[in-house]
Amino acid sequence: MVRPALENRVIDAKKCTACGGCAAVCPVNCFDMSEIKAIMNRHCIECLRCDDVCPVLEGYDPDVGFYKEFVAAKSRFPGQDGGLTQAILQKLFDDGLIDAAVGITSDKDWKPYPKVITSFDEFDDMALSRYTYSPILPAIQQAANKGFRRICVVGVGCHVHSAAMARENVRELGSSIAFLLGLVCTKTFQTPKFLEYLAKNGITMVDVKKFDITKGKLIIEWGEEQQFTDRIKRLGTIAREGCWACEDVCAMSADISLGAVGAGPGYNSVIVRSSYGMELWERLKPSLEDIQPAKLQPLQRLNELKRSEVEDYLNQLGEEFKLRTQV
Amino acid sequence: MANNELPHREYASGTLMTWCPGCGDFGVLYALQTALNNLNIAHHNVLISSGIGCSSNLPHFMNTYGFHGLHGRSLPVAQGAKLANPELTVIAAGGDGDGYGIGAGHFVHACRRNIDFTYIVMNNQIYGLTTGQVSPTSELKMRTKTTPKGNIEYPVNPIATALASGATFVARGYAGYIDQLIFLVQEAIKHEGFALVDAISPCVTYNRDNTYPFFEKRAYDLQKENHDTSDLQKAVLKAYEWEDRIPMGLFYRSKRPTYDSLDFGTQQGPLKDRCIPLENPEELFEGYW
Repeated sequence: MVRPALENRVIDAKKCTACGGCAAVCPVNCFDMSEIKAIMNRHCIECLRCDDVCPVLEGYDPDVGFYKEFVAAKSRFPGQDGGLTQAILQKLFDDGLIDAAVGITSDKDWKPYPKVITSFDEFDDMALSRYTYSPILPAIQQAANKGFRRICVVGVGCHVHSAAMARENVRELGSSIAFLLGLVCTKTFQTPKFLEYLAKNGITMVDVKKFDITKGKLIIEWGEEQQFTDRIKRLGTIAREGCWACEDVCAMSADISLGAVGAGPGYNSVIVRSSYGMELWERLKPSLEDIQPAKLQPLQRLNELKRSEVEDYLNQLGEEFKLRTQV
Repeated sequence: MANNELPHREYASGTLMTWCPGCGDFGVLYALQTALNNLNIAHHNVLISSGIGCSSNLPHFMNTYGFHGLHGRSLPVAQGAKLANPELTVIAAGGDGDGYGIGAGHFVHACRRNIDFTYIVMNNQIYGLTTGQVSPTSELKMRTKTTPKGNIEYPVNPIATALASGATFVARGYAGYIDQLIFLVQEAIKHEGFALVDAISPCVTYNRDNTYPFFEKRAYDLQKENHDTSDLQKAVLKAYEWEDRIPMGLFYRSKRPTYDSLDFGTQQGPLKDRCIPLENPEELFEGYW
């Protein structure tokens, strides 16, 4: 008879990343997901299933996590950076390794929502990075209920981490997850506040063509070749509170993680982590335009930076929250 | 005494839980604890007897009296206890294998005998404790360790069996519908006579067919469809509904004099108050040889 540890140590400790894992596996549907965190609303029967999929409770690997290969690559797709996300998804669909993929997309007003695609042709609007957030694990559960048995998860660190834990601990959800495609992520923003911020700077979401974060700067391309840059630190309060306490920059639990750190412009840095990811990578190699060695150091620095930021944040929250983080 | 935030805690024992995370039994335990708290029944007036199985560990997690007995024999213990001390709120708990398999004989006779106690069966349609063999309630064609080519035995219908055997309170709950389950357990405890709550509690480890999504898709609340709980015929019809839609709720409730109110032996006062002449015990035995 114990309350789920995540209630006290994650949600109340302001560390919840709102991946939605708990909401996906809860047998009595006692979680409501907001964009910022999970909320326990109804009767909790204390079955502790949510603890089994909570990425924050499990903690994080040291450094950049385990990996087998780290390179920079470029595909023929025009996407964010090297367009590797499309290339990998296309390969997965073409080879029949997956029957569905779940990722985040957004409507015309850039309001994010999870989307399930069942063929590569539906991919189109998932290509660009969002920097706003949506819990996708419940969508994966729904897709699994519909009968999809080999689902690819396209998500940032917390999504992928939760999905990886589900693969280990929760059969109903985990047995349907085939591939984990992680995306490097330092922070995501609260949609309403982010829209407000953009409006203040004279940008309308509808005109935005591309978001990018490089070297601590947010770069927005919008309208007719107009560019807007701002330092990430100034976006502080706009970021979601869970993101401040998250150390998982480079999707450490994924089969393959993708980012742009350490790779040249127009390239993706590819971190192949699991043996299954390696298998796919070997298959994918011939179809890529270019593969080059990537620099690990910038990613490591980004990791260290993020970790010190987390420490600062927890210090700022005070003793009460610090105690709670000693999992 | 009541803790407003976590009312069920009053009845929790603090013993380490051995059920798998996500098990439906957690829902049944929670419902039982909340129901006891809502009815404000004192801890020392509650006895929970159980048989063998995952679910039969339930008495250990309750801060009440408990009797973890033999396989399938939770009902004899419960009946004996109720006859000996009618002041007790007696609850028998167990699984589908315990109640509808090895204990099926006791189950039928408990239904017709109508002694005032509650029987909660945590029905997961598989043997969980022994790691996934076919159970009396497993569906046809279900693949388990002992039926690799699919189950060929027709499953027991506990609701219909109870109705046919003369039970006066027959309900089916579902661990996923926790509010309804609390209500059902509460009504079952209040009911005078034998009350059966068949609580569907999906096994998350061994049962790959009857999962939470399976029931989420099919389950519906019987009370919301204007079901007449005093009509036995309609209750029997509803009891056979399973494939596409599964009714959850109170099937049938009626009043019949209980065994304890008719029994000649117990009418002279409860057994627990009667003294055995211990000064000369040989006198007592003399009549038997």
